[in-house]
Amino acid sequence: MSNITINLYNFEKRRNSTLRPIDAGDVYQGELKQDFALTGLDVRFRFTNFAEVPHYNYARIESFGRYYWITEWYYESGFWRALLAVDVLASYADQIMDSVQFVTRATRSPVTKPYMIDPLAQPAGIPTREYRQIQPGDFWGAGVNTNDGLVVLGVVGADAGSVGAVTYYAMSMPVFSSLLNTMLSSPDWLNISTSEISQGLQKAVINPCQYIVYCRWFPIYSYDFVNNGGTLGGGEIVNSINLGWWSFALANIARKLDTAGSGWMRVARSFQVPKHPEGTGNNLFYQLSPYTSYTLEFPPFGVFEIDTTEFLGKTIMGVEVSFSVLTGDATLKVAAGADNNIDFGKSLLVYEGQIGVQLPIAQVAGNINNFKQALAAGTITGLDAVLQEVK
Amino acid sequence: MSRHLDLLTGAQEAIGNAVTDQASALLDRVRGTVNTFTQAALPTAVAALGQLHYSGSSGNFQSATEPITLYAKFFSGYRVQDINESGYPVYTRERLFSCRGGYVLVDMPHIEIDGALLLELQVIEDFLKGGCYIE
Repeated sequence: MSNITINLYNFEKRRNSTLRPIDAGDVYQGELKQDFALTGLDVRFRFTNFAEVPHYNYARIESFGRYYWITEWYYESGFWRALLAVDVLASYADQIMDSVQFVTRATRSPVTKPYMIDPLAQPAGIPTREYRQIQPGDFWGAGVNTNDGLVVLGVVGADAGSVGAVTYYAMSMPVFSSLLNTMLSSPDWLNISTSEISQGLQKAVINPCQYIVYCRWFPIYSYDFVNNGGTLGGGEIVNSINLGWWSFALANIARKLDTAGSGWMRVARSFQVPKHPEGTGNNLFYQLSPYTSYTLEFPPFGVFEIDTTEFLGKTIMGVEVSFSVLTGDATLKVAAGADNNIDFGKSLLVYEGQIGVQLPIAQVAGNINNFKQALAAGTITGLDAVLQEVK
Repeated sequence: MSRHLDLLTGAQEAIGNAVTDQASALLDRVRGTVNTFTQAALPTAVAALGQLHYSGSSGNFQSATEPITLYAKFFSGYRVQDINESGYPVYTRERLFSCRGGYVLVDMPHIEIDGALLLELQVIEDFLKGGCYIE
């Protein structure tokens, strides 16, 4: 047996901790067995009160430079024997703390990755829901329950500034209604003498709606469009439209869209993005799927699932619709931004569709006669070529 | 006998060739006529197709009455373990001293300590790999 100085402690610590006692504890002389391993000792103590069970659970042997767990006490022939197992975490705490490791998880770390999904936090429970809305009138400028919308009429008529063979006019609904009323209430505007063709026959023969080849309603504020033009400007304010061989005075002004660009419009608004109520601090990843999901419903384009990563660090969502009132062709762009700064060049969603409502006019017409005549003309031309060869 | 046969066969061949030639010529003329007809007729008909247009349709205003809506759905996160016993994701190389005061989990730990025994190093690495407290 060899004697050794041992500091004994009644010490509370976790098994997998580098924690060490800060005081000296109770100092004793112990007797080591002749044969021992440094990591596992068998020490005999000669306590004054041998009848009292030792309450120590931890030890330090300075000469070995190590801390030990006391794993068992034995009473043997008037002595208390302790089995000691080295506590490597406490013994080498300084070196461990000084080492650089690849840390995957930590409670206290200056490096936080709050957006990194934590697999130990499972989505559970009944979901809560929030929504943000923009009323159609607030987005487009006009609602269906008012006469504020814009009617765009494409008519065939004499006009040097037309787009193709059709001249487009943008007007308010009352102006459009007044125009139809004038056209269809009396054939006087035809200026055909009743001595040549009776009024009844004029009505039967001439259908003014045949000159209207495009008629579409848009939910945008007609006053602004007619007076100020579309997003790119252009077009001129007129008081009459040319329809077939005739000219019609309008009840109020309209805008003649003499270039494709003059029918261009851009409308944009933004939402505040609802955020996960627990998605703060180190739990910012709650703002991501599967803890959070976003769905955008944008009639008439459809319903879209939004990638939650697009809203990280963003507070608002912008929606922009660019469209032409000459065709109804529209492009929807959705982008995320912060502080009312939205860059639609970095859109998270770009989708094409059609907006505007086709208004029924007096006829749904396809001038199939032209097609039949064309086919007949082609047949005659072909036969004529054959006959020429026969001759 | 064989000479007569040859003559007869030759005559058959001559007659057959004449019929074939006439049929072929007729087919050529038909084909040419169709070509001529098609080439002359098609451009006229195709050009006239441009005149074909439709106007007017029935639309509906339903989509213009619907609000534009952003829906959000939130699930609470249920933590399998207490944060003090499991920590947050870090995934970074760093000095363990900076994690002092809490739980730490290390991937592929490697440590060198002057004077430490091999067994002790293995145990330390096992602790780091399984999660321990730097205190």
